[in-house]
Amino acid sequence: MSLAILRDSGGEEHSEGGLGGYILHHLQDSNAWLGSHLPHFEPVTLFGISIDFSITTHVLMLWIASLILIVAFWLSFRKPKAVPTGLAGVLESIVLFIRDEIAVPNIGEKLGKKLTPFLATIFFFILTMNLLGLIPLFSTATGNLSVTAALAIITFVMTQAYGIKENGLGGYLKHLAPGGVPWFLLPIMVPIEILGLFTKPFALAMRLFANMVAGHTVIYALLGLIIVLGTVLVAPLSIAMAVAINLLELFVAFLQAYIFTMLSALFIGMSAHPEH
Amino acid sequence: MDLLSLNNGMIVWSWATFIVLMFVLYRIAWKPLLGAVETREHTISASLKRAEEAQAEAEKLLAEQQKKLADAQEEMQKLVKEGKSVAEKMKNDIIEQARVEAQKIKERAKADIEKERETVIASLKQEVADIVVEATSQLIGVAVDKTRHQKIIDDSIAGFGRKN
Repeated sequence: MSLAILRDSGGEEHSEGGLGGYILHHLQDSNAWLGSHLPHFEPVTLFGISIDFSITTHVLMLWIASLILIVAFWLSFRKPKAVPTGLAGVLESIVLFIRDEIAVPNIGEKLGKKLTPFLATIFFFILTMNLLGLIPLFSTATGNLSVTAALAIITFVMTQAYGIKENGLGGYLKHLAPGGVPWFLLPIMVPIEILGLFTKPFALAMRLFANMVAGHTVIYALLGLIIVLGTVLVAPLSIAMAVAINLLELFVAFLQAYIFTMLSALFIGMSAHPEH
Repeated sequence: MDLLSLNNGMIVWSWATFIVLMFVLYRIAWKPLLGAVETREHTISASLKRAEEAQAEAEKLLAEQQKKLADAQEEMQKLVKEGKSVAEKMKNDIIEQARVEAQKIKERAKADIEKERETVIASLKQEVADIVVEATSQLIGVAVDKTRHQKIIDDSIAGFGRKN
């Protein structure tokens, strides 16, 4: 994987690669949204790494998602009530689900409750970005590998940090060599365990990214049939199937947000309490 | 493929956004929400505990009352039984006393009758002796000395008595 900026620079490349290129273009990040160009900055070099802080569509989506969440939660919880109603009730039951069904069973009573805000933020952030991607004209930030990788790296850092904090550095290193394994297998097991530390967040990032991209690709492909076949007669079927896939995507949006949160909790819990 | 390449600017933006979002949401949502939920859970568990305690208290009181009631009933029955036995005893005493009294009266009457009879017999004997002495003296013409012949007379009278 290259960390270089390989993003295409504009929106005038449709003809290249036919329908495939067109779909790819729409799945990718861009510098323009709703017809206006977003601010472009020259790459900044920090510690020898060139970083492009240009505002892209996906950055904008991150912000829109954050804004939606902040406004929704602010409206819901600015006046504390004994028993929340309406949207506040829905949000509260989701947060309680995250606390009681995801955080506490996987991480334990005390640490689970402490990490609930982190897991709830991950869940709502991913969910909102997934759902934004289903709205026409908006794009899916979670369909960008950089975004999912960034979130997975946060989980990875939390996992290692709580592994070391709960078990001490010695205990943390000791659990890289699983108990009950004959000593001669250790040269194999230890590298596998270390590799496992990195494959977990990698799978986390890939799963979310691929799920989001796949759904959108199918929708684009179904609608693209109309253009490829050059007839409107296929439109009813294309649209019906696209709507069905869209509904499936709605489900997947929730499912993937749940899975990401669930696995984050599981990894942190496994690292914090390796004996389980 | 472009789709699979990483853009470090995007990663940094994601981190920045996520961290800012988490802190803002912590202030406006997680802290008040989870705090309210904890408070509510505490209130509920405290209420449940109180209700349980109240129920236990009520059950204890009920048991006490029932025990008291049973005690009172037992006491009452004991009293009734005691009263009955006292009355029975009194009745028996009275009957016994009456019987003894009657017996006494009867015996006294018997004794009186006996005494009377003896008196009558004695006076009759005397009378008979006097008559015999009188009659005999007239018949034989000699005064029978009462004192001298007393023994013979008495013997003969005693002989009468035995024949009768």
